[in-house]
Amino acid sequence: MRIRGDITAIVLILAFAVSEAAVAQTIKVQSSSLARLSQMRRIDGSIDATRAFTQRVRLSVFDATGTNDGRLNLHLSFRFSNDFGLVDRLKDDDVADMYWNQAVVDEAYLQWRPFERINVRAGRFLRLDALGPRDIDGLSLQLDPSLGKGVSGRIEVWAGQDVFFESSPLSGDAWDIQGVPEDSQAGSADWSVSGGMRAGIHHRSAGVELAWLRRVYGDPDGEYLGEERIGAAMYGQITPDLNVASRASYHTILADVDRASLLVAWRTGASTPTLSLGLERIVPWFDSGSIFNLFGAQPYEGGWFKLSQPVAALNSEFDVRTFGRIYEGDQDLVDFGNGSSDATTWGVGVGHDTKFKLLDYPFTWRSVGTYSDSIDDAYGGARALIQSLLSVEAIRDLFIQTRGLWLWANPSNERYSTGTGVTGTLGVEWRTELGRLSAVVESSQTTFQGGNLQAFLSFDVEAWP
Amino acid sequence: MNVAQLRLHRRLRRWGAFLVLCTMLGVYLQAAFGDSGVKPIRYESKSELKFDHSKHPQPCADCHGQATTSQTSSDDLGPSMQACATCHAAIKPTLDECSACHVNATNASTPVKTEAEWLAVRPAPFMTPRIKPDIRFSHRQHFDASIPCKTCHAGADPGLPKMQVCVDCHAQTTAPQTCETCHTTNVTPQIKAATYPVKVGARSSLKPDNHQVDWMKRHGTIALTNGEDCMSCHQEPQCASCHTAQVGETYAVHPPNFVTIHAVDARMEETNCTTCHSTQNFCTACHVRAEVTTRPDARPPSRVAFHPPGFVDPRTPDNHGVMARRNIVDCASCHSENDCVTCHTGINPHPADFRVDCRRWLDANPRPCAKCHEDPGGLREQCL
Repeated sequence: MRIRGDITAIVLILAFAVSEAAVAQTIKVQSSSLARLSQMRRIDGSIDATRAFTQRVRLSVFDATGTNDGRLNLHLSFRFSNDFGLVDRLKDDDVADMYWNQAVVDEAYLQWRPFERINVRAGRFLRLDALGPRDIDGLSLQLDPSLGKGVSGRIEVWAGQDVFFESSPLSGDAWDIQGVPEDSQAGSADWSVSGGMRAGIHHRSAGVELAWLRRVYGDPDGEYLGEERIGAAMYGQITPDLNVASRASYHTILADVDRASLLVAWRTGASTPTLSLGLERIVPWFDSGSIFNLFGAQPYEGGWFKLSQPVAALNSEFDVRTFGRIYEGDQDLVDFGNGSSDATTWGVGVGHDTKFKLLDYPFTWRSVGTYSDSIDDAYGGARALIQSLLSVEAIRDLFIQTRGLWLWANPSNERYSTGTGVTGTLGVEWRTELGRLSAVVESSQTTFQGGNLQAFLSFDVEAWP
Repeated sequence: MNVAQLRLHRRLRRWGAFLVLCTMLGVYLQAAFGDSGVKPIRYESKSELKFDHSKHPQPCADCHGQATTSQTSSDDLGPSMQACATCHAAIKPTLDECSACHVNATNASTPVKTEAEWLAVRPAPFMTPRIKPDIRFSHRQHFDASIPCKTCHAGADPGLPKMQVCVDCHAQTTAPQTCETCHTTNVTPQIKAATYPVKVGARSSLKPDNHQVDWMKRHGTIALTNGEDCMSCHQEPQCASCHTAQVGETYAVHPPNFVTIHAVDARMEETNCTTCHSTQNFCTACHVRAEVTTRPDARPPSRVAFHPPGFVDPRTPDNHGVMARRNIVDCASCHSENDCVTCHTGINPHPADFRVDCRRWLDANPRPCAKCHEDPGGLREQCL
C-alpha cells in the first residue's frame, strides 16, 4: 500500500538530511500549525462543531551532494490533521475519515541534474503542463535543449500513478466515482498507470507547449483506458502591454475538445486603462469508468471582460467587469420532451483597490460588488454579492484585517424564497523573528442557513538545522 | 479494499501520524534549543566593534582566511579575535587597549601580553549583520574564479554586497541568473518588501516584465505552459500558500466563510473548484459531515428538500436530466452512481445521439455499461 511507501520516504529523507555527510548542504525545515474551531448550523438545525488541528512540515535539502551547485535537491512535505470534533460514527466512515487521524505526504521527491540540461525528478511531485496540474508518484525525465540565442526547448517524458489528495490511499480510478469502494466493478482495479510527454519551445516572453497523457488501469479481466488527452498551451507578450495566453485539450474518448480558453490583457500605458478579456469552453467529463459520462454532458461557453483604470490622485484603481455563460441545449431532446434549450447567465461588477494613510497608518481597502442573473427563468436566479476588505499595519510587523460580505439571492424557482447572508471577519497577524502568528474570527448570519462562527489560529516557523 | 486492508491502512496511518508529530516536536526543539536554531527573518546590526578597514591594507585573506574555502552562506567569516593578535601584539593599539576596538569596553585590568595568555581570552561573541542563511553562496566558487574580494565588498567600509551587485555581475558573465541560483526560500513578496535587509535597486527589480497587465488572471495558463520558469523563483508550496488565506494578507482565492456562499461559485465555475479539489471526494466528505447527503444513515429531515418540484418529471423544463447534463459535478457532490442506476432501471438515460459515440466509449471502458447492461460486449451491435 502507498502509505508504506510514504513512511519509508519520510524515514529515508530525514535520515539523509541529518546524516553526517550533509556538511555543505543547505537544509530548510518549515513548520505550519493550524487550529480551526467552528460551530456550523446544519440544514436541519443541528450543530456541526469542528475542532481541527493540522500540522504541516516541509523539509528541503539543497545541494545534497555537498557540491553547492544545486545538482541534487531533496524535498519532503507532509502533514497530519485530526478533527477532534468529528462524531464517532464518522471516524471509521470511508468518505469522512479524511477528517480523522489523517497523515498525508504531499511531496517526497529528489531533483537531480546529472548534466546541465537534463533534469530528473523521482518520487511524489507536482507536474504542470498544458493539460493541467497533476500530482504523481513516478518518474520524470526532462531535457532542456538550447535552440539558439534566447530560444530554449523542453522535452519531458514521465510516468507514474496519479495521486488524489483528500482521498483514499488508492487512486481515484480504482474507486467508485464517489471515492467509495461500493459494489462497483471499477472498485476492483488492481493497478493504475499514467504516462505522457510534452514538448515546447520558449523565446523570452513567449512560448508554446504540446502535451499528451494516457491513463490506463486494469485487473486480471482486462485493461481499460481511463483517460487520453492531447493539449496545447501558449502564451505571448506581443508588446510589454499586450499579453495573450491560451490553452486547449482534446479528449480522445469524448472525441471533442473538453477544455479551451483564451485570455487577452491589454494596457495602453502606465496610467491608462487595462482591458482584459477571457473566453472559455468546457465539457464536464469524468473518468471513463463513470456512468455520469453516459447521460450526455453538455458543453458551455463563457466569457468575461474587465476594464480597470488607475486614478493616481486617489491612489486607487477602479474596475468594471461583466461576465456571462451559455449552456448549450439539445434541441433534439427538447423535441423529444426531455431536454433543454440554450440557457444564459450573465453578471456585472464593479470594484476598487485603494491605498491611503490615516493618522500615518498605511491602509489598504479593496471592495467588489457583483450582480448576476439568468435570462431564462428556468435556470438559476438573481444574486448580488458585495465584499469589502480593509487592512492596516497597526504597528511594525503587526497587521490587522477586517472583511465584510453581503450576499443576496433570489432563486428563480418559486419554491425557494429570497435569502440574504452577512459575514464579518477580523484577523490579526504578527510577524516576529521567531515565526508568523495569526488569528482570525469569522461570524456569519444567513436567512437560509442560520448562523455560524469560526476561529483560526496558525503559527509558521522555519528552522535551519 | 477489504476490511482487513482498511484496518491495516488505518493502523499504518496512525504510525504515520505518530511520526509526523515526532518530527514536528523535533522541529520545535531544534528551533528553540538548537545551536543554529531559528534564524531570524531580519538581522539587526549589533556590532560592538570599532574597526576601520581603510587602515588595514593587508590582503583580505590575512584576516578572513576561511572565506577562500567557505561553501555556505551561513558560515561566519569574520576573523577571530586572536587573528588580531598577529599584528597588534607589537603595534598600537596593543592588546591591552580593549577600548580601542570594543565599544564601551574598559582597558584590561590584567594586561594580556603573551600569546598563551591571549589565546586564553574568550570574549562573548559579537554579532555582525550576517547574510540570511537562505542564500546559497559559495565563497570558494567565486575565489576559484579569481573574482577579487573588492568586486563585491567594495568601499571604505566593505560590508555585505547589495543584490544589485550580484545581479549586475551575473548578467555580464556566463553565471546563472535564476533566483534559484542564490535563493532557497519562498519568502512571500510582502515579507521581502517588509523585512528583507537588502534593498534591490529599481533597475534590478526581480519582478519579471510579464508580471504586469492583469497578471493574476493570466498566470495560471502561463504556469501550465512554462512552469519551470516559475520554479526558478518560486517553489511548489508557494502555489498552495497563495491560494489559501494568510490573515494579514488578502485571501487570494476564497473569501472568508466561503462555505456559506460556495454553492453560488460552485454552480457558476465548478471546473475552477476541480482544479484544486477532487470533487468526488472533497465535496462528498464535507457534505456527508454536514448531512447534506443522500446517505440513508444521514438523510436530512423530510421537511428539507433540495430539489424543486417536478425535478424528476421529464416534462418540466429544469428536470434532473437537464440539470445533470448541464452540470453533473453538482450532482456528484451528493449522489453516487448507484443513485442513478437505482431509478433508471428500464429507463434509458442516454441522449438521442448516444449511439454515435457509444462504440468508442465501449471500446475504451465497458465498465460503466456493465452497471446496467448484463452483456456489454453485445452492445456493440447497437452502436452506429
